[in-house]
Amino acid sequence: MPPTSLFHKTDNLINFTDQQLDARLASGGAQLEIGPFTVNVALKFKNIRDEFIRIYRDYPFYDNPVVLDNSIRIFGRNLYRQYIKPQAFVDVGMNSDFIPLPASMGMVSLEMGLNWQVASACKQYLMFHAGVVAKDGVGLVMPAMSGSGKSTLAAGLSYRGWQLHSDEFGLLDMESGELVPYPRAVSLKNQSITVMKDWVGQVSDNADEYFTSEYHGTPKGTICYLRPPKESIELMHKRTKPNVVILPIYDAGAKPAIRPITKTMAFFRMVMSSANYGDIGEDAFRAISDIINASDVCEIIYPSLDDAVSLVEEFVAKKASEIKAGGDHG
Amino acid sequence: MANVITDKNILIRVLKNPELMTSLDASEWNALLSEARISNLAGRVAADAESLKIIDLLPAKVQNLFKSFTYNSLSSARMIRWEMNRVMRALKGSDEKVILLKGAAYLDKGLSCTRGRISVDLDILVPKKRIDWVEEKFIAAGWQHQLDNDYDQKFYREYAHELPPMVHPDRRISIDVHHSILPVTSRVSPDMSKLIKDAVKSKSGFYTFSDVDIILHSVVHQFQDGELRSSLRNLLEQHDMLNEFGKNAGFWEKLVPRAIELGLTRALYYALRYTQMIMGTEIPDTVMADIRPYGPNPIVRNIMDWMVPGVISPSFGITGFARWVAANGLYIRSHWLRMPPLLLTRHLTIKFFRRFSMGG
Repeated sequence: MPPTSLFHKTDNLINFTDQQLDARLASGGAQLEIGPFTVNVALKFKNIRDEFIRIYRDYPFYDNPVVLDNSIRIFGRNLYRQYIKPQAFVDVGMNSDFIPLPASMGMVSLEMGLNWQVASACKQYLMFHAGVVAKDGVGLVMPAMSGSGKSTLAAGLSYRGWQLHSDEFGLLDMESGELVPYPRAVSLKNQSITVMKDWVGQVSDNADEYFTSEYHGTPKGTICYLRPPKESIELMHKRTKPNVVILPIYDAGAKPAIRPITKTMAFFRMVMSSANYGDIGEDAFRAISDIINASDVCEIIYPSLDDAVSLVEEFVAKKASEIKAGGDHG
Repeated sequence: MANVITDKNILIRVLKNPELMTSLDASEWNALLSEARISNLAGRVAADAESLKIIDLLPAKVQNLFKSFTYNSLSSARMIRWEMNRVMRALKGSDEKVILLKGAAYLDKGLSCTRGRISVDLDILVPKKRIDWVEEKFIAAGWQHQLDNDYDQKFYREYAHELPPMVHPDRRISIDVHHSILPVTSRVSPDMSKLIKDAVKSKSGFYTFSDVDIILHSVVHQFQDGELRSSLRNLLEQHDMLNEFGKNAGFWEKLVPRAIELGLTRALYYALRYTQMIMGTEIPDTVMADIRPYGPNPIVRNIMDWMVPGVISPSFGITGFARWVAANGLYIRSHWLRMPPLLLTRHLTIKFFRRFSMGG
């Protein structure tokens, strides 16, 4: 069985070779599938295409035209901006003005454009600003503000056997009550870049291939993108019900600890992390209530990624054994 | 009468005949979805599919996207209704009619054109003598002015037909308080007391214009005061309202005479001409005959016939340099109708130089 088996929902989905992909990206665009979203990506700059291919080469693409969620096009607005002083203009197809970045910023323009499309338009899934991972029936949601280390923690777990749903876009299908994986490139900032390069290096001989160049001097400091593990890409349509909520707090000087919180607090933290809670309204309220009722909840405080992963594994052990017991009897 | 540009357009074809959605291929869907989003009509297209009960026949991806569009428009309606509630509370004790305009009025009256509609602001109208009172009440209730630029503030107060927009910091809805449906500097100045006198009270406690006046306001907003560019949604609303009100006894008989009474015949001429040309609106021949004498000369009419369908949506129509000419022509036209030449020159000069001083 080829590892791409899960992609073949339709015979239209294929994996391109790097050359095929480059040609598509440079012309009309390549129809990329990431979890529930299909987006047409057209990139007029060679350096951005190279970085894109490094990150997204294992993803499924549609060969023939399909209905798209979004379309994104990155190009120079004129010959000067294309060749002489290249500036990446981003067209997200939504009437919004995007500040063009120098083309040398490469993937930053693309990833920010994709973020914008999902964050501003997606209402069919309840969205959490959270790292989400899953393993053996455990659906773990980690809502947090930017800078709390949730991206690093989600990515860290994904390179230690967990399925990465997303490092910052948790999505919930409100009808089925399942988390919907959306495994995009992980966005790493500043110190976490070194941490993750080391972390991935411990389990892979060719870790360098998993990372883009480091982009210095962006509004958020230095940014680098990390490709999700191959298994997470292959499992992009495997959904899990949420049943553990952990609020992560990174503190370089802290003693690692699991701290109890009430379900009420967990509920409000989920609401606060949701970008479209207010737009969805009542259905969102019900969905979060259901998640919290079904979940074990806590806060963890940790000084390092190693500690964080141990704390997570320790806390989810109870839920994992319940699921295992339930599975044995059922 | 038809138009070669708009008749081929996928969005217009679907708006006129939503059944078409059951037979679109992937490329047509992508064109439709992209144009609907750009024209702010994605929610409308989803609502049409819903009311025809054809959702189940559409591709799974489309059903999923329509869910998102529907949440969006329901959320917008909910926010507008809540803002209306807050406005009602802030203006408690008003001894004059508080009249809802545009989207809020359509929503309050439950008109068919509100299905799937997104509103981002709330417009109300009060008699001019009450405008300062209303501003005080809003400020006291926590609303804040959005423009801190002195020129903009002064311009609004001296020449516009509304207060500078205000917004409550806890909510995102901008509120425009009007005292007229056209700027005080405009070539045409309808007698507002007539419109206010005929306004009717609704269950919410607010007032709305009479059916004929609601249409005339939309028409004036689009063809006299506002920008024609990217105004497909406005035209569609006029089409919907003409359909909906046209069924009521006496509506068609009152329409043209009321436009004559208020001095709004030219705008009505254009609205009837282009709803019929672009949307295929059914308008009685007698009404078309009555409004015909109020049209422009054939040269202007031909130019408008070229420009209006050409720029009504940002995603299709005239392209390249011709589009630039048409769009700027219409921009200047809308300002020309809005203020006398000297004031216009001064206004556009200040706005032009401000582009540089504000750094882009």
